[in-house]
Amino acid sequence: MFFEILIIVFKILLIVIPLLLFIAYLTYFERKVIGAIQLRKGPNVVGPFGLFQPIADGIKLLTKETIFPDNSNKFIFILSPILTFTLALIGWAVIPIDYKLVLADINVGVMYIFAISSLGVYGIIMAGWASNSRYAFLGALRSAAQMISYEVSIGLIIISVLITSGSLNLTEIVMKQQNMWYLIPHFPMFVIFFISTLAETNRAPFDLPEAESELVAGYNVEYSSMSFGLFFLGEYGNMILMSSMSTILFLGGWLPPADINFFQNIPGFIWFLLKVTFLLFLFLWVRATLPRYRYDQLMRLGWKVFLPLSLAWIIITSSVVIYLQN
Amino acid sequence: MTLYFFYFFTFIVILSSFLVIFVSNPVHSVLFLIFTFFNAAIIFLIFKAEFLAMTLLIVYVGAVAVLFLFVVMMLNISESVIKEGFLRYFPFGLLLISIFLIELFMIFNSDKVIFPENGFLKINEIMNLGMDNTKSLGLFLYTDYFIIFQISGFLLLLAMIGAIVLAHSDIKNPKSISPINQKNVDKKTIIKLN
Repeated sequence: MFFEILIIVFKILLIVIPLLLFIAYLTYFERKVIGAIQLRKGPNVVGPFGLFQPIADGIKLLTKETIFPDNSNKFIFILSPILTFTLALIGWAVIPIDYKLVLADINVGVMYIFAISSLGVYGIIMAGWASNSRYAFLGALRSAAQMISYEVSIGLIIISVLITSGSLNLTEIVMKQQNMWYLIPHFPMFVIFFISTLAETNRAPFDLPEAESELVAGYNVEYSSMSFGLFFLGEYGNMILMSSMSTILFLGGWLPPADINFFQNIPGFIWFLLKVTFLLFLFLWVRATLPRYRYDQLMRLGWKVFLPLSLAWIIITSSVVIYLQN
Repeated sequence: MTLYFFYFFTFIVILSSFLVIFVSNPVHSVLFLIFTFFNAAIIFLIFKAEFLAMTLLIVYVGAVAVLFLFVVMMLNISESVIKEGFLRYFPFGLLLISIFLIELFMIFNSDKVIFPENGFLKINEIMNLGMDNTKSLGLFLYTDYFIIFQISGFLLLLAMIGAIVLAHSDIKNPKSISPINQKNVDKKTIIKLN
């Protein structure tokens, strides 16, 4: 009994520690990519090519003072960054990185991830309320409305993928894509899913919750030191989680792009990492290119464009599936 | 082992649902409500009803309770107002609770209410065949109970349309700009150089 628990803890650490490193170097990657796009060098002072920059940033955040605003609700104020960060990590329990390389191969994997990502809104809305500041509260309300709106279209897109795969298990969804990635038949939905994940993770061009020009920094104005750090890490962790989700649903998970012998020899988790990194690069590319959306345009896009399109796609997909079955 | 887990989580559910009522801050009571939902989902998981557990999380915790929290935070209700209404609403609440309790007793005491007479599928048989939760529930809902399923869907649609009709106002908001009009703006008429 004790030994089994120890093994599970060891497995969890094997997932979490590389993930934290990935998150840390995602911030480095982001600064380098945006630097390159804006014809700058990006971080290049700390260590060779600035490679120790994320570690320096982390140490700086840890050594700062944690400030609790007056009249803030202390318990919820501390709880919300912890919640955000935990939710960004526990989604990884069901993500298959390679064939059978997964902590818990549960048969409602897709729904688990969807539930986890829909819980993410609580960290933000609780932070906004608990810090007892107008800016933080307005940012939190915006964020909650935005995340709920885009979850609707994400859910519908997931349903149309599920209709084609016929399973809620993430490993089986990937195995069904051996002949053809779902990217090809579901291409419009892949685009909509990608844009919705941008909105779901509060990234540019939908980073209205932390619009600096109007709300200072949104829900995390009052946070400092590691409590801010946890929000920051949580956001980047969610980016990676959603990217791996779209990798599994549309880009064939760990499967190589073609059935060539050379491609088969490369281990599956490297393909998985490459695909996730490509999607993350798209995230950063979009951030460096596009200006921020106006709030009413964001809501219009979610409810009046994406929702009808993804609903129509479900009907089209299920008709095609029934036609092919007969 | 499972039994102890069950007792532990039911204890938490009961405790937190009491706290929903007795906590003075309305935002705290909504948070306890969310905690109750969450633990109810865990109880579903203990009984291997993973589909129901995840649906509970997605629908109630992920969507409905967020909107609750949203409204309660925005209304900013003072704590004294809630305490004043207690005696006024207590008889009504007592009536509702007693109706619910009697219904529960009636369902659990009789053994013939649940299954239809001419049903083809029995949920126990499907589960025993070794199909997973989601599939058996789907087979069950879309065959024997299809009409009831559709009717409940229409009820929800009706509620949605009703809410939209009640909240909709014909007054045009001058601040909102239609993106089509925005696209059709002509450069010559808008920009003037003197």
